[in-house]
Amino acid sequence: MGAMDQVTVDQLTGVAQSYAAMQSWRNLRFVGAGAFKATYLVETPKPIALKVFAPGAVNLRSVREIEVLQRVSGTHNSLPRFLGVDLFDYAAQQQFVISLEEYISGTPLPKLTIDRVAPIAIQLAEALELLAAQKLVHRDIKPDNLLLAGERPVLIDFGLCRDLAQGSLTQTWAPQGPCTPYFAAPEQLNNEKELIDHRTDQFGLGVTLSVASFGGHPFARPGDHPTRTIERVASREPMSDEFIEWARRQAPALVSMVSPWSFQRYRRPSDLTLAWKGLR
Amino acid sequence: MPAYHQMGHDSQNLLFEKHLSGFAGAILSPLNADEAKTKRIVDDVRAALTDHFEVVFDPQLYFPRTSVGRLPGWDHFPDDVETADLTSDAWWRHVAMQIAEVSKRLEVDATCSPVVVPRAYSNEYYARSVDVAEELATLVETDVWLTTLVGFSDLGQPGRAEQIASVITRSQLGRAYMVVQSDKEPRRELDDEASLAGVMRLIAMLEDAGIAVTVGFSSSDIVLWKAAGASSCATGKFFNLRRFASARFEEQSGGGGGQLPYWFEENLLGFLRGADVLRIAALVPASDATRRNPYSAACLAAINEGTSWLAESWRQFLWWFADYDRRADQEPVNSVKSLLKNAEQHWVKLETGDVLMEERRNDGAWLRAWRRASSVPLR
Repeated sequence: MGAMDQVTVDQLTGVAQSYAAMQSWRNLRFVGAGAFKATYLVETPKPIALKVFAPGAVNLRSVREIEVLQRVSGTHNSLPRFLGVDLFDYAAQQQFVISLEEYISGTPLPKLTIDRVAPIAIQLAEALELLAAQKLVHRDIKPDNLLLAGERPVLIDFGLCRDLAQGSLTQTWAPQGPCTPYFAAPEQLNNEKELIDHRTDQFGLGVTLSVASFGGHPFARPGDHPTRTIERVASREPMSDEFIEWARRQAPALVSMVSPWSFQRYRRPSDLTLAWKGLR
Repeated sequence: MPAYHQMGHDSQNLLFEKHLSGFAGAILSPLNADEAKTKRIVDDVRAALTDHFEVVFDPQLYFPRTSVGRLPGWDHFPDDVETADLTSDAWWRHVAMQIAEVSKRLEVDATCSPVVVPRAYSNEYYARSVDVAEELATLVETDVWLTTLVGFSDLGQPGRAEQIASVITRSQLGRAYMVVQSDKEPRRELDDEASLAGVMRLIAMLEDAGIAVTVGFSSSDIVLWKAAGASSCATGKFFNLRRFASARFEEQSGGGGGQLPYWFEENLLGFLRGADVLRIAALVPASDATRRNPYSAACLAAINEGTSWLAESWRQFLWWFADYDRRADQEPVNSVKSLLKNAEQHWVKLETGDVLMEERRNDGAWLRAWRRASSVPLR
């Protein structure tokens, strides 16, 4: 039984409301709930994202997510600002972990015309550079985790973030590493742990930008079910001819970004930024 | 990039020979000399050779539990090697620090990162190799060559070169020192087509990713490694006979070794005993490289007179190696295919002519595997 089965979203909402009242925050709005936490918008002059973790769900991954947010906060405009973490005793029964972040008032990455892709890609490539410098790999870059606020893209949800300087939490026997399969790199789908690095995020960003601008997955063939496309990526089949032809004309960097083997992608994080700036 | 000269037992004098000046640098080994003697070699090199001559230190921890020669007397050789946990970050950090200190005292230009020969060549092993090299790079002011020790048979597996390249290119270092480990016995050529192609493809992948590869412990197989795009190859006076194998390290504990002289003939891409050199002369003419080789005449005279030519045979091989490395950078890759094809045809001619070599298995049979491997697309 999962943590959210034991504690309902309604209960977490009660916790959030109680915590907000204690802070004299009046306007609280439910945003969404995942497997281990629920997120709320606190409508203050600078909106806050309030996250309540289900008791028992604060495992090592949650702790690492909060640590990562603390580390990257304020380092780049495309990374979320972290405001703090709190332990909250609710109704004298249970202790809840609450994290507070900048609320990004944006939408998941929409379909983009090609002239809008490069400025967004440059900002995100710079953000990935900063993550790579801290040996962090997000591992879950996808449209839902890239919010676009005006022309500012923000990478959110570091729940699957891996710190390469720390031991892996994924068991070697697992057939697949943590990811959203449709946007994942082959090394994630095959649980090739030693191949996970900043180039894994490069792949996820490449697929995400391709879906937004090309209109489809670089490896998909007409009529493919998404599971077939995922299989193609996992077995490192070639990208589709249509995608390659389009990308070479419109956004050549995407071809390198979504190469099946990471040695074929941009080796240095800065190379990716330079590629989008047209300097490499 | 020109070839590198790997120092063997008492071979430092070869560095200063006029006709062996085609090497870009020397790779020093702690097996045959202690630190004080090695430092004297570095000082002699600095005094006698130009600034462009690179001095590289290879700490040679490949078989730490089979400690050979003078290695156990060096400061970087771990005292606890018998009981050490080779998966420990702290242990490797300590080793890297010791190597950094030694490199600093030796005043070398570059240091090869330490690796041990693993039980299995896993991705985890390569990730460790990268981490150790990156750690060493933070400790030394000189260049660090990322030692990339590969198992020859491991690289015969489909997709293996791609996996290894993906892990190695995680490093931000610009140079790799590739060492190919095989169980091939001395005086035999590597001849597994899939493995040869795997090594070649790995070289090409690393070079394409911006890592300059120097293939150490090379021999006549330099022709394949250069065809794959290796920036340079390295050899020593004994590598006309030996390969990188545990047996070699055990054998070397006696010092020297490899006491038979061999003539290298580019037209056969093979090594020949003295009597064979005379035996083939009528059927296979000496290559242009052999005719230009300043040591060929002395070798031939000694063979004819029945006197010793061991030291000259080393020189003949070393001159060819450096000369070939230089030529390979200037000639189109396709010339390797014709080189291999011609060599195989020459061996066929010897077979047809009933020319039987001193060593029964010296028959050029490996060239078919080399030709096939060199036909496999590198990219």
